Amino acid sequence: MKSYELVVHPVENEADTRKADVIGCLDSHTVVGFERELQSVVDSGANVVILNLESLSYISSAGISALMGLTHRLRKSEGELYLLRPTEKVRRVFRTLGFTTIFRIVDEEAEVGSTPRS
Amino acid sequence: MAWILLALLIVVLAGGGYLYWKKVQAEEKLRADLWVLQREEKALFDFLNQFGQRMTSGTDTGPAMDLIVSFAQEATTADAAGLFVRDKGGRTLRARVVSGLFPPFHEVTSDRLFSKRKYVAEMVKREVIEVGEGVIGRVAVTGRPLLVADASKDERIPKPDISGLAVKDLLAVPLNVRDENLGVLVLVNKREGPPFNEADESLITAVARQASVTLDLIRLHRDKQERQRLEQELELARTFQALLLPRRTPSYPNIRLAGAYRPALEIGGDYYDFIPIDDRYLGIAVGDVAGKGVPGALIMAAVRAALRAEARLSLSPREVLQRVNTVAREDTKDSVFITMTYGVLDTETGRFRFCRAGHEPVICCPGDGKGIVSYLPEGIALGIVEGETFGITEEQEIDLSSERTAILYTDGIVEAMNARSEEYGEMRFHRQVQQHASGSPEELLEAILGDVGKFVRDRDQHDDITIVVINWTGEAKSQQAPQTDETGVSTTA
Repeated sequence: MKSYELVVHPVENEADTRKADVIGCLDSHTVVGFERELQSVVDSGANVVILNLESLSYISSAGISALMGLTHRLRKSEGELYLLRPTEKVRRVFRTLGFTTIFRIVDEEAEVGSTPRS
Repeated sequence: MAWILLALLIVVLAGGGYLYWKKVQAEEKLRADLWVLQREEKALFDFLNQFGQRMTSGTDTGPAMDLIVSFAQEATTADAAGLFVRDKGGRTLRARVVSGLFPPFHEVTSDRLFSKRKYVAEMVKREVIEVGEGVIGRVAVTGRPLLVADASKDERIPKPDISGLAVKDLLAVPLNVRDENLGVLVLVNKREGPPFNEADESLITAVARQASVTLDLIRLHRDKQERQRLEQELELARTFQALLLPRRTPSYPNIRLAGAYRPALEIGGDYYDFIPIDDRYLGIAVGDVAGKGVPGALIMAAVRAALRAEARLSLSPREVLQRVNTVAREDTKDSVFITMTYGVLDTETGRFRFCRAGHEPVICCPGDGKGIVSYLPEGIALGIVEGETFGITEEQEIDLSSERTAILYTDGIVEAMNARSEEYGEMRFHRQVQQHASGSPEELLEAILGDVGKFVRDRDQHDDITIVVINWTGEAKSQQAPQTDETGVSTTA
């Protein structure tokens, strides 16, 4: 049985920023828990969310839909979702969908907040 | 002599008096014990009677929990009571019912919020207690009741600095069924008589035991109903989705077509369509909604209707998809998207002009052992961006008179998984296409689906699989040698 885990880290000196590692596989089963946990991250006062996707092995359309929902929600309050270092496989899924122009995909945390949205 | 007798009489009388006094005391104790037992028995009887009457049917645990709390509070004359139930994951507890002035068990920083009773209850209901954390979380772990007769001497009990919320005594009883803990019933501040004691513990433990069994039964019943509801929804979605598929496959002198749709166990949102525009041109679509079950099928129905209407108004797939995108953008939530490949086939010349709205590439194979060409023009999924951004979507043309066979498909095929969680993958898919491209479209479909079945074996199919094969049977044009990469696949974007 494939699973996923969301590990949330506090970000020093940035009260409205949360960073979390997404580990494992985001499919139509695991996405339910993922969305709930993301919501509680946002509810805890996060406006900028950095999701580290280095250890995300698979993402289905349901998982991408969850990321899209969060992107829209955060942007409504001038916030942003950053996707950090997705694997080549996940990047390819984003490219096929044409979403590389919508998501803010970054390779370094230092890029957070600096690159303009395309 | 006489005073000796008198003294003896006094001793006998005193002894008798003492014995009588002891007997009276013993009787009183017995009566008190009996009263406690009778009270317990009557209380339990009343509780079971009410509980049974109210809980004979129904799938909501709410009324049962209300009853448990109000009964426990009345029977023990507790000032406040709270029923904490484990969340679905089982790792945290939350108050589902709070009655009376129940103190928050987390640290409280501001007392401004607590000026009114209802705010206190709301605050307590919002608290999330980790299993194992604090007195309530501990009882959930140990599965044993906790009795604190004097809370002022117990460090485990929080001492909120708010008037009226101090805990004087406390009784926390687990709700266990079989080896599982469902939650914790907490009573604070006994109003009448001595603080909470063993008699209260024994009574509330008995109540909790009965309540747990009932809560468990309601939960099982609800789960069963939920499963039945899901199955019905699934059946409805299947029937509905079948209606969206083309009822017949059109035929032309130089073109042979075949389409297949294999629904997953938990229905996905795939679809394909053949839309005759006029005698010469045919619209061909393959799509996938990022949403399952009835909602996914409904979105696909709306998109299908929009596509069918727009397809007849323009021979440009880009124009058609742009209009469909506007409809999808208006009709769906921000997070819902649809990927689609839509193309217009000139059935006389074999020219297939298409757009890829975030969908899988179109692959072509001339057969005779030649390589696969993968077409991946720029494109963005439907329903997410406004028209201007969607404009990056490009149109591309495939000349089937030289490419012979074009295949449109959904990701369910390459992402099909076996029991070892390995994906079927693009390589194996392409190999099958190469091996069988010279056969008829039906044979090609059969070979691909058969091979996927062989790979997946007994694992449940987790996503829909859709494939459409377009095959040129007319005169072949000389073919340009495609640029192939090291994997034998050439990509044209």
